Amino acid sequence: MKKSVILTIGVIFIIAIVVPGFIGLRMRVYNETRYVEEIICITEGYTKYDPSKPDEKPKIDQGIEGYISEQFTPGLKVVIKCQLKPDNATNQKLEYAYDEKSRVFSVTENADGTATIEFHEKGTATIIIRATDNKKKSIEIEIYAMDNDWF
Amino acid sequence: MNHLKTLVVMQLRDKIDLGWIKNKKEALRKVILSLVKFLVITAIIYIILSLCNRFGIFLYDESPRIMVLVLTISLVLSFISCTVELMKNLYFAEDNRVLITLPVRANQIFISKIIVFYVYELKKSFSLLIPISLSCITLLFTQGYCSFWVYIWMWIPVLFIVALPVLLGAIFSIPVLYIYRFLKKNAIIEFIVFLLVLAGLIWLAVYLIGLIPENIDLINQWPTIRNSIREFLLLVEQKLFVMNQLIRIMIGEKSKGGAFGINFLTMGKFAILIGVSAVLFLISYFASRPLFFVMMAKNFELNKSNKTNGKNKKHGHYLTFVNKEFKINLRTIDISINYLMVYIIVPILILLLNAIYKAMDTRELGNWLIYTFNVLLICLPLLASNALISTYYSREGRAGYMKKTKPIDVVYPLLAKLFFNILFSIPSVFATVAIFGRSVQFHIGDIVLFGFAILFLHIGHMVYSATLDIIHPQNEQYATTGISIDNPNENKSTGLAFIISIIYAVVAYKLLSEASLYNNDLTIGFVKLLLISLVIFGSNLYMFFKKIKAYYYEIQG
Repeated sequence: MKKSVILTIGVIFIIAIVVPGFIGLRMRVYNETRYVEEIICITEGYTKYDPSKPDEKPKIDQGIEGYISEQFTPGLKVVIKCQLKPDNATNQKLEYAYDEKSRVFSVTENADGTATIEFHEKGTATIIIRATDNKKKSIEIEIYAMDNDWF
Repeated sequence: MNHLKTLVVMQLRDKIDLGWIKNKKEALRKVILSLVKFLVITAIIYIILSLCNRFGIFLYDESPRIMVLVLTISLVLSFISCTVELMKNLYFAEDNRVLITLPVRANQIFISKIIVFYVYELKKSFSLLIPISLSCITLLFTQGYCSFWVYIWMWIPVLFIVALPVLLGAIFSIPVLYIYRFLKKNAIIEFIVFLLVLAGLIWLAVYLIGLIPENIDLINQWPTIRNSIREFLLLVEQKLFVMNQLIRIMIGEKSKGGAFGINFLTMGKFAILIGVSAVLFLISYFASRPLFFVMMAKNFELNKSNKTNGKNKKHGHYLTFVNKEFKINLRTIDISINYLMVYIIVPILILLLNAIYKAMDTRELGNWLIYTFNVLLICLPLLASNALISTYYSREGRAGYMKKTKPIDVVYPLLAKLFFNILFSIPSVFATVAIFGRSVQFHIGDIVLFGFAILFLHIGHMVYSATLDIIHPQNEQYATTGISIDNPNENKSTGLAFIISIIYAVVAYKLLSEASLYNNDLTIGFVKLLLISLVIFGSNLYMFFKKIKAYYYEIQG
């Protein structure tokens, strides 16, 4: 049997599990709405502010949870990825709040729930990431786009 | 160089139908058709990947992880098939004896064989590896994660990546050759190895069934499943370092902004890839070339043994051919393994599938889908395995023409070739149907009816595949090379296997759901399915006899 035939049968086997698993299950009434309890930033290079460090504590007091530092280059893009807890939260959509008039950066919300921040000049972007079903659940993060010597 | 080119083209003509090249109209038609086929495959894969992205299985910039996974599977399978096929093609090919007489250097023959395999691997990559890579790149490009240059650049590394399994296969064909010869000389060890592989497969199936959770609720468990898939893809990217680097050579490095682009690091890695390919070529050249010459120069006439064991027995007309086929089937490991693997794997596959279904709490639609997918997955591997049947008569090479000289009806030897396949398939079909029937609690009578329906469908397609080989014999290809890596009959048989299986599954869904709705009894549905199978079987058998009459008696006049 050819390699492509074996692979195709393998794919059909997976489809044979997924299709009845999604559209063939007995109906259940799920009364429970699972609200977002926690938002975790999982972007590469994301660091939480450390309360034990005197220079970082004020940031925590301001409600800023962490930061991402990048070296500024024209057109620098940083993708913000978040994970929601619980995994099966009913409404997984996030909203991003930021300074829309900023000349330093602009934000594009992507279809897959992430957001891309594009820096036009050096500076800091402060973003609040909020759950849409539970506005109390949010995190505020900073993204620094600075010169190399800043680090 | 000209000699090498001639050698490559000559061998390619034996393996791939290149008749269309000289005819401009035919060439244009072939190119357009191939292009459309390639674009359709790419578009389908793109849609599937986009859906996976929408379901959150991976984010846009994570699509290279899919490429790493596909490249790994593709290269591993290519490496296995190249090793086995190159072993046969380099050391046992019938055309070696002809090629050695040509006024070319022996080195050129060796290199030409490697190039022919490389061209064929390149052709195969257009059916899966390249469409998936292009789809992933399109996914990245549409979201601004890579530049348009990647579309142009990716073709260059692909040329080298595809060469890797061929070159590795040429090197590994040497130890495989020794193992193959050792097993050929020691039939008992060969049988023990086969039993061990079989036991391993059964153990794997039992192990997988043991892993199935008691309750599968994909909707409720989806977030957890999705996260597990994403973690798995991340693990794939992290652990398969070499494959990850190969993909990086194709699409470039990830910048801090998340976009992929070709830079100096990519060029450096590409240079390493070229270096590795060159080293592999040199190793295969210096390691397998001497062995190739020894095997090629072996006098095949001295290989024949004139020893006879015992007295000749006189058998009846039909029994003589059955006896001959029995011996051929036992002695040709490729054929007997293909039989046994398919006929053993199909029941295991269905057992695994139904163990998963058992853990699902399905409604009526779910039950019908379970029946339909069971029918599809029983038919697909069974019918697809018949592709081998479409090569049976041609495999005899020039000896196949001897059938015409025998003073008997040619139907006897032709049908005898199918005898063992039919014989082995009977227990497998009924075991598979019984596994399915018992897990969905069909009546025993329905199971028997369904078993016969599948059996007649299987034999009907088997006879069709055999008819293909009668209508378009490939005896010359097998006579010259010993193998035919792009047999059009195999392709047609496989294609029809997919079409029949899908249509049959849909018809089964319709008939069984109607029988349950209007008669509250599935038996009528199974009877109708059996009738359809009988019609397919009957019409193919009729065509088989008609074609035998036409091609063995009337055409030769």
